[in-house]
Amino acid sequence: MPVQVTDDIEAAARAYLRGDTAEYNQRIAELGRARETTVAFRAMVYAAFLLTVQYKFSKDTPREEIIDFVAEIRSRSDDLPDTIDPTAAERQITSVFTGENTDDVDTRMELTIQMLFATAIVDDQGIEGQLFEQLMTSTRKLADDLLS
Amino acid sequence: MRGGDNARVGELRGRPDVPPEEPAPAAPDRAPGPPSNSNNDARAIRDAFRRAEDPAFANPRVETRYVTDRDPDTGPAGIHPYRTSKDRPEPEPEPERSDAPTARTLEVETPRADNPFERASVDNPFAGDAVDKNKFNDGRKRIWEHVEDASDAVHGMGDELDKLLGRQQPTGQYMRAGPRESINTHLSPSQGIDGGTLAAAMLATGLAVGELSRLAYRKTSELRERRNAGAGNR
Repeated sequence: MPVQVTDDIEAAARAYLRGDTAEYNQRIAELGRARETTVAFRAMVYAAFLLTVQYKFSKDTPREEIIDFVAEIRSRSDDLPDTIDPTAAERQITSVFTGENTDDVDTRMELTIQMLFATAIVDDQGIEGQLFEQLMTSTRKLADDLLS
Repeated sequence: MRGGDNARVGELRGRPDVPPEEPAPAAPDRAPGPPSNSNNDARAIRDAFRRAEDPAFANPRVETRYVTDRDPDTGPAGIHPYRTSKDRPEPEPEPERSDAPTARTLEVETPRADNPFERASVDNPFAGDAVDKNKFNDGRKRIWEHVEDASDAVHGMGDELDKLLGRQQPTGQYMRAGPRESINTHLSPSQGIDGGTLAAAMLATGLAVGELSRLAYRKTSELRERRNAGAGNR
């Protein structure tokens, strides 16, 4: 049976994109650690990252603006500079437009960057209400495409 | 100076017997212009025409190359202009280009229509059905790799989200050691400027400390204002 995004997986993705940590922790604990579940959730994370980055930036965005954005995100907490590798984050963002392969980035770092930056963009850009629902619809569709 | 003029000079100097010179024939190919009786002027004009016609003089800066002691063909170091274009070495043939796609060619060849937000409808700006093909395929492969690490990462992401959203109490650990300390001396952690970010950005980007300091200060100020505004709204 092919792996698919379930409603529970989407709910966990909604929670982190909204910054609802308590809800996210509960949802992700309920999902467990099954391989298929992790893969499907990861597809949602990847899709949400692609779409939010493309919402905020474009192919013509100056590199300085991306450096600026990454530095700003890392400055939001004392510990985030140690959590987020700035070079990896900048590469992840620019690769959305260049197609650059970033497989050399550590899996944990990759997921951290994708989840935190997507959440930050949703928060900064005021993506809420109907716009947030549109994001979730497109994210799930793209995630299913990734899994197909 | 004309011959008649020479005769008048001789008269004035008390030498009326000086024979007048034959008038000099006009140069048949001389370009029209103001009359000149200076041989130096004529030579200069001829040199100018010669230079204009000689490719070796056309653009001497282009023809100049630098030769070092390491060059086995030319010996000692110096600057040797090629005399003519014949002396110029044949350019080496360019290596055959591979058909394999690269990031740069993809950047050029990927049409902007692949950006889902440019072709998105007004109703849904997240019409994410046209993500960069290579990036999409990388992701399709990537999500099946290192699944256990991925599971560990997503199950511990709640704490990282709290850090991002400012729900974690400051630890005061702005600096660790090394380059960060030197930056810390120029920035005041008590004002909330993150020297760790600055140091990492400096090392990663190669930007000047001054540029990054301004960036960090501006960003921290904006962040502080945003947090203050958020606190006021609560």
